[in-house]
Order: sequence, then C-alpha cells, then structure tokens
Amino acid sequence: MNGNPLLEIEDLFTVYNTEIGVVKAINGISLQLREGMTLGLVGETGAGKTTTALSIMRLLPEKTGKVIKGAIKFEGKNLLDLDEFEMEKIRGKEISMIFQDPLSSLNPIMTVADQIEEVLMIHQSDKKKKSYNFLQNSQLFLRSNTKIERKTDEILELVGISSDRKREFPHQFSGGMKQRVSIAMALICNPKLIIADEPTTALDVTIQAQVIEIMEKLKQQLNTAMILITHDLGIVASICDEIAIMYAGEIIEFGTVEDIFDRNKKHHPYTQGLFDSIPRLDDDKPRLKPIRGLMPDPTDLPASCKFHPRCDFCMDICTKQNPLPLKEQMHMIRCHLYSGSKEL
Amino acid sequence: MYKYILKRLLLMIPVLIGISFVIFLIMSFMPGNPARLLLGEKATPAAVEKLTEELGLNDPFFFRYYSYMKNVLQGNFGISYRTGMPVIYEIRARFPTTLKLAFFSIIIAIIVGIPIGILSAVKQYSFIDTLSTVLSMGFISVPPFWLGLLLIILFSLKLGWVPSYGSDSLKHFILPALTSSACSFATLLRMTRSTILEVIRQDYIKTAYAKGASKPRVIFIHTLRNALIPLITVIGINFGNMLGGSIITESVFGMSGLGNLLVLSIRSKDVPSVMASTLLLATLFGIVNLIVDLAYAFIDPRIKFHYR
Repeated sequence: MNGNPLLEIEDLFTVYNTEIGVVKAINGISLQLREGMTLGLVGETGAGKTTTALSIMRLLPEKTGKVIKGAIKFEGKNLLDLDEFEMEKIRGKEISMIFQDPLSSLNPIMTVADQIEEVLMIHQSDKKKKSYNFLQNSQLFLRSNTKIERKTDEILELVGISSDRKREFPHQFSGGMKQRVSIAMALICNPKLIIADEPTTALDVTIQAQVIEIMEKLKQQLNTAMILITHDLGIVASICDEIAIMYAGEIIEFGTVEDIFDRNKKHHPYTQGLFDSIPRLDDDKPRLKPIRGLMPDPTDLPASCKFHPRCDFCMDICTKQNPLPLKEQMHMIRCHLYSGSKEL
Repeated sequence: MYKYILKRLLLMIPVLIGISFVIFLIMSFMPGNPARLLLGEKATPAAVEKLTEELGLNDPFFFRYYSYMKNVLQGNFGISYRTGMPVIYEIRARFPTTLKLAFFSIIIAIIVGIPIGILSAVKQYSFIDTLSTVLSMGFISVPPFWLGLLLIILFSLKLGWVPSYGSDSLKHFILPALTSSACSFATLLRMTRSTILEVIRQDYIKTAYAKGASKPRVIFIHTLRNALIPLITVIGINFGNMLGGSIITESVFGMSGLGNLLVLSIRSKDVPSVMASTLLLATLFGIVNLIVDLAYAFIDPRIKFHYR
C-alpha cells in the first residue's frame, strides 16, 4: 500500500443525450488510484466501464456525451477544468489508453512505426507550444529524428516485435501483435497511468495470456498505474491490486483482490452472482447459476437500489432507497443487506 | 506493380475493340446515306451513287468494319465526310479545349468541394453544414445550360468581366469551367462529408485523439487520407464524364470542343469522325480509371497488396 494518490474520481456523473432520452451512464462513482497500482474495473456490458475511461480521457462523443457533475483529479489537477489544449498534452503522455479491438484501433494506412513515432513527435512539439502558432499547434508538420526512431525500435523489441517489421502496415500483423503495437504506443511516453479497455476481449485465449503477461511485465518495469477494464474475472485475479465492481453506472463493491476473491467475506449479491456464473472444477454443481434478468434501462433507472429487480435477497427497503456505501478498511459495499450494521 | 499496369493496359484492347464494333454497327444501321447528306438534296442520283461507291458504303458491313480497323491500326483514322480533311486534324484542333475545360472544372470542384465537405462534416448539423447541403442540392439540380446562361448574363453582359463566347484565351474558360464544375463540385462535397463522417467514427480516430493528437492533425492526417478512396473514385468518374464532352457547356459558350464535334458528326453521319472521337474518349476514360486505381494503391497499402 504505497504511493500517493495519482487519480481521484469524486462523485462523477456522466450522461449521453440521445434521441431516446438521457442515458445515465455513470451515476456518482468515486475512486482512488495510487501510483503504480492496478485497478480492475469489472462489470457487464453497459455498466459504464468504458464511459468511465472516456470521461477520464475527456474523449466522450462530442455531441452526446457529457460529464454533468463531479471531479477527476489527476495529480491534484481537475482534468474537467482543463481546456482542450492542455488536455492534448496529457493524452498519450501522462495518461494513455489501450482500446478493445486491435483490429480496428490502428490506422490501416500508416505503418506501425509511423503510428508509434507519432506519439513521441506530438509530445515533442508540446515544448514549443508556448506561444500561439497555428501551424505548430495544428501538428500537421511533424518530423521524426534518429532519437525517436531508436526509441521506437526499443519499445517494439520490449513488446516482442522485431524492429525489422516496423515499416509494415497493421494488416500484415496478427491480432495479438497488433495489440502489442497498441501497448507499445501507449507506453512509449512512459505515462503515469494506462487505461486498458478490455485489451484482451478480441483475442484468442492463448494470445490473451501473452498480452496480459507483457502488460504485467512492463507495468512492473515502468511502475505505471493501470486501470484495467474487463469482464474477465480470471484476468482481474492475476493482475489487479484493487477491484471495483460496477453495475448500472455505480460502483457497488470495491476492495483489494483479497477482499473480493475471498468467498468467506461479505459480498454484494451481484458480485456473488458474478462468481456463481463461473464454472468451477471443485464444485460439483450440475449447472451454473446465472444472474436472472437484464440490466435496467439506463434512460429509466430506478431511484432506489439499481440491482433490486434482479436480486434474490430483495427487501422492502431496496425498492425505496438507494443504499449508502459501507466500508471496512478498503472494502466497500453498497447494499441494504448490510446496512443494519455500521461496519461490514 | 508494373506487371499490373501492363495487364490493365492490355485489358483495354478488347474493350476498345468492343466499343469500336458497337459504334460502327450503330452508325452503319442509322438511316440516311452519308453521300446524300454530303452532296445535298439537289444532287443527281448518279452522283450520289458514285460517291457511295467511292466511300465504300456498298461493301458488306463486316468488310467495311475490317478495312476500317485495319486502317486504324496503321494510324489512319480516315477522312471526314463532312470536311473532306483527315479526321485527326479536327480532333487535334478541338481536343485541347475539351481537355482544358475538363481539367479546370475538376480542379475547381476539388478546391471548393473537398474543403467545404470537410468543414460541413466537422461541424455536422451546424449552420454551415445546412447551408452547404442546400447549396449542393441546388447545384446538382440546376441544369448546366441554365446556370451557364445566368453566368453569362451576370459576368459577361452586366459586369463585363469575362468574354461569353469562344475558347481563345484562358479568360474564356472561366465561365464554362464554373458551369461544368457545378455538378461535380456538389457531388464531391456530399461525398466528402459522408465519408469523413464515416471515418471519424472509426476506432483508430479515437486512438489518434488518445495519443494527444490535435483536431487538425486527426482530421487531415488520419481522417482525410482514409476518406480519399471514395473521393478519388468520384473525381475520376467526373473527370471522365467531362472528357466525354461537356456538350451542353460547349454549346452554350460556343466552344469548339470534342463534345461539339461529336454532335456535329453524328448529325451528318460522319462515321470516321464519330469513330475516332469515341475511340479517343474511350482510351482516355480507361487511362483515367487506371490512374484512379493506381492512386488507390498509393493511398491504401492493403490494396497495393492485391496489385500483383
């Protein structure tokens, strides 16, 4: 438990204004991430994991997505207060992002080296950005140099791609290699925080293991903090220090890996359900126990506990009041089941 | 790559043979005797019969086609029935006008259409976007002869800035180029807008932003290059069409271009002229298409991969 807080999210609310109504994607999440730590963000599709990541990066769809309340503090600075200009200096350099689908997240008509070098070139030109000069700020005319090229070779070797292949195009690489290129791109400026949005979902299981291994190795080498978004509990267990479980835009349980994976501890019924949906060899249950029902409609969320329509332990109060977070050291649960006691 | 170019050029041969055959067929079976048209209503049947025999019009169709093609392969495109001069002379005199007109028109369309298209995609649903949509719809719908006449009234008659007639100096090309670029400018604008909007939604654009790239960089370096393929296709087709003679534009502005020649020759059943112009246009069209396809490979490395 070392390090200063790197990223603090305080009571964040994000919405999408769509034609069918206001989609409440994030409903008041608060998080803390310390330097060098890895946080797993777990939840089913639509729980608001990616929206959280895009809110941090300030990359929500321009016309629809909007943070309506809260603060995202990165090294004490509120990212939501920065202008687009200052934000550009942070993206890729201080905070970088790895996307879900490596097949579509690389520009098909640029060589791998060009795409990696671009990150360095963009942030190299930052230094000159003191005065307002459109041509410079437009970044249209960037130049590579031998230092940049050497660094690109290094990072490619680091993620296990021969630098001989750097002048090739993304379509000449396999899915796993493309994801390694994305990782190289995310790491090249030595960012303090990496947000990996389901980095292994689109890959084969064998390649998944490889990519996770590389990410873990590099994270330790470079002491980078990471937010790992996933719905794969296996990956979470192997790489994360802390886990936040999201449901309908809220964090309903938070804790260290030990807290969450200790089945003897108290858990949110949803977390319980997640674990019950994983096949286990040591149980001889004939069938898995899925969580019944579907996520509530995000345009019309219940004001009370958002999980209550699917909860086996639903009580009267669950339909009326939203539970407050209950804490015991790092471990936090939002559920009325435990609201009787002051502590967990 | 060179092998691919050679293959494409060789493929043009059967296309040209096919085109020549069809055009020759149509011209031959069109009613009316060229000899009669040449000599006029008052000519004696004997004179008409003599000229018909001289022109070889009494020979069977396939024989005529064969001898025509044999001459063409020897570089002899025949003598125009209408002028009595080798066809090549007239084409050589008129072709630069058409080529210049097409070239200026497409340049105007590119210079105006693509930037406005980008702007209206980037500022989707804004006032600029609505305005450009309305304008381009207008330009697509306006018939070129009417637009040409309006331009003449305004810029030649009222303001007297540019000449309204002829094709002698560059100044003569301003109004015709504007007229014939109107339609392709509008299609190019719409195409730019829609492809940019499509590319902008791709994941790799989000990646570019996540790298810290500025908006101009994302638009011009990442988006525009990926959107170029459909744009180049449209530019190629439009340029080809313009080569085929902006017949209407040429007539309105009294320019002696290829389009005008073609109309004139068809009316007087001037088979050698029609054949030579058509073959020239078809060849050019094929070359433009080849250039477009080569440009694809230049832009997109995935396509280059297939050009073996």
